[in-house]
Amino acid sequence: MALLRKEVAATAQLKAKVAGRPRWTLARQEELIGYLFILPSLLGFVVFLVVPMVASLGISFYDWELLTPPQFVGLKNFSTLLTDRVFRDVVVNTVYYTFGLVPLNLVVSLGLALWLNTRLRGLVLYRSAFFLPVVTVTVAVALIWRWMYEPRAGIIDTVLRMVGLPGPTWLGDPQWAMPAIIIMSVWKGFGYNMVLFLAGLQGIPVSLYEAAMIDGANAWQRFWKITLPLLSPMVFLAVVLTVISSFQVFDQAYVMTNGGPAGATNTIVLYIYQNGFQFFRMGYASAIAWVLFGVIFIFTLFQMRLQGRWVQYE
Amino acid sequence: MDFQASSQRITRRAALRFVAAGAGLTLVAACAAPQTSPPAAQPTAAAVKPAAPQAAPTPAAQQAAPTAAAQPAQQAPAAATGQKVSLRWFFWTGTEEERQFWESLAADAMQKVPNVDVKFETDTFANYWLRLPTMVASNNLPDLLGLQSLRTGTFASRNIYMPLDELIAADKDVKVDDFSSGIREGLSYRGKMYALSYDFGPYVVYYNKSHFDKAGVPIPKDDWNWDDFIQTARALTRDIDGKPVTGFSAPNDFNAMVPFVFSNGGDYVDAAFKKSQLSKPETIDAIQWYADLIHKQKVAAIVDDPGNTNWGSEQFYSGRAAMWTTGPWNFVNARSKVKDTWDVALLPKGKAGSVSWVAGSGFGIANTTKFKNEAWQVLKYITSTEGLNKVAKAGRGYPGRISSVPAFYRTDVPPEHQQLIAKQAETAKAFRTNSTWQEISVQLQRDFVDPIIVSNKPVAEVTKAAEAAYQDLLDKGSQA
Repeated sequence: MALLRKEVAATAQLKAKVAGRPRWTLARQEELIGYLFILPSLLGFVVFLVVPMVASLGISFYDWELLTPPQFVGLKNFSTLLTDRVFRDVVVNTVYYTFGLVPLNLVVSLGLALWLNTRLRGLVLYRSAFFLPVVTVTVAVALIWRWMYEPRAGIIDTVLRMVGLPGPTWLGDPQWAMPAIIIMSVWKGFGYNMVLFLAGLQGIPVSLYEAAMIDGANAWQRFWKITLPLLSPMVFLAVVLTVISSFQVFDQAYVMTNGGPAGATNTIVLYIYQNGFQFFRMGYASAIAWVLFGVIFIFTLFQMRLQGRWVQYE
Repeated sequence: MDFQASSQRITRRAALRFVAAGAGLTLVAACAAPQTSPPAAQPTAAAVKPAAPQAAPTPAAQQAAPTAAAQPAQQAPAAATGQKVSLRWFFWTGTEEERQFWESLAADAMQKVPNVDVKFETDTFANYWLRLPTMVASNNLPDLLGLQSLRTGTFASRNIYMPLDELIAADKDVKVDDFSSGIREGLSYRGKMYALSYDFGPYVVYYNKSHFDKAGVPIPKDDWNWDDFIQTARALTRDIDGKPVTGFSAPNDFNAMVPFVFSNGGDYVDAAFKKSQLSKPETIDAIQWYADLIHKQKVAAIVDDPGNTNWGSEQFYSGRAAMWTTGPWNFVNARSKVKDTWDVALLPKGKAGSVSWVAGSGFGIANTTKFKNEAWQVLKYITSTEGLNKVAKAGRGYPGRISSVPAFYRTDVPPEHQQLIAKQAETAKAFRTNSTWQEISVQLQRDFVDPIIVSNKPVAEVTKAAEAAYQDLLDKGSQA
């Protein structure tokens, strides 16, 4: 709110200036106008992200049931995490999901981007079709996929039976539930990376390929020696973003399996949700959220460090 | 304007730093408040027909005024100035018809109770229980609140609802004995009553009568036992009208197992709600018997979509299963969704008889209300015989008051043997919960029910592995 007041005051000054004595330089004027432009989203950012974030850090040092007054407990919430068997399980499940999803997602999105980059007919149509799942609500997608995974009438097992393969019960089997969620999530999310890759591919100069072909490089060599290196900044970006979003997987597990069967698809964020809103342990939930933040932060830092070894900027 | 210039520069730098950090930090805030609105799994879901206009005035109509004059000073201002007292009533609904029904009941209450204005607020069943805590945390709690008996332990233990005992004792005409004892217990916590019930009901057996007729199986007798049950289920596990049918719908749901546990003389917790009874032989045997219906007797389908809380009902509504257990709150749903003729039967007798559990919902008063007595008058009207007759007639639920039960009976639609509900309720026990029950439900699902039902592990073995964590949560609940 203080920020808002300041901007309002600034606007008033700007008006005064425009009306009368020109005191500020043009640059400063533009700077101010720039601030006015970002003001709406900055406000949203502060109100809905910065404030809750700082609050959640504070809450993580309290025992707070929402329904009763909070009590300061210091680091107890964080030390409880160390002995929480369920927390250990949800971390394992989330890491499983991340390591299953990220490579699959990259392979599929890169493969389709390469195919779409061959200037085939109806490119716009395909690109839109592949991007459609990304902008579809996850809850709706998850509901549809739950029907598709149904073992008797579901389309997936029906097709598997037609080609003579025994289909698992998917969501009904603790072994198969997580793979099922990963497959669905790949379908749901690959379009985003595909568009990134497509943009990257279209930025690679054709002259490089021409030169390589004159030198006798085959398609495989051109891919490894030209395409991939020049695409590596995009791949890096895609990996970082996909890993971050994978660690935060929630909707799929919530809607399709509610973390089951037998806890096989319980994820970190689902566990945060359960603790906060079902078990009334806001402090503990906040502590887990911050641990998750720390894990993702370290992971991302690590990726940034490795960047120099394989990412090539033109 | 040196000062301004420098402060501006700092602001910008700080802002940039903020944005840079924020890009990464976004997720923490996102984690703190996941914003999905999941589909509601709603135990008492019911599509409701609009309430039939009701003319008959009852004694409840005159009960409103008497206590108002003798109220403490706190309430004097509103009464003195003749201003209307504004009450907020918060309750869950699943359909527009339900909302309209409760609003019409609120309008009736305003006519019967002088000087009150009742505003009905609502959300879905799932969201209701998420919003209640946030309303408490933000000091924005409505005056009248819904309470489901399975959540009494969770919410009544946390001082949201006001104990009603004093109000009941001071009021001659509320007649709480008219409420069925099982639901009175279900809406009480540690000996104090926190809500008056509008609906309740015991688990009974629903069966697809058309399937019975087509398979040539006699309909269940009132004194059938577990062996009869298996025989019946086996005879029904066959193709009917060219489609495969199983005898029974046995979902991976702890609540669905408990009637069989009770009927076998077992329990899930001791009388003091302190010690787990899961490893009691009667409990283990009953749950093993339930699991065997799927995996050994093969008279119930394998649960292939364990995350779907409606799996059990879908089996029965679609005709894929010939029998199912649930309460009378699903009459309305079964009437609209089951194409065949259906009916209800008593639970089959186990070693300890036919012992069901009852659950239901009611209304209580927020302990933050400024208008305790007005809220009580409105609550009393809503849950009066007159109010509950309307609930019963609208099909919203099997009424908590025995005197309203006749209004619930209908001869034009199934089930034919609806009087069995009252009979089953006679011997039923309350489904008791404690303050950590929401967490216990999740723990039992993960460590106990799913391994048994979904993964087909022996009950004795699973119990050994799961009981310590369950006992731990019982301990935490007892201390709370």
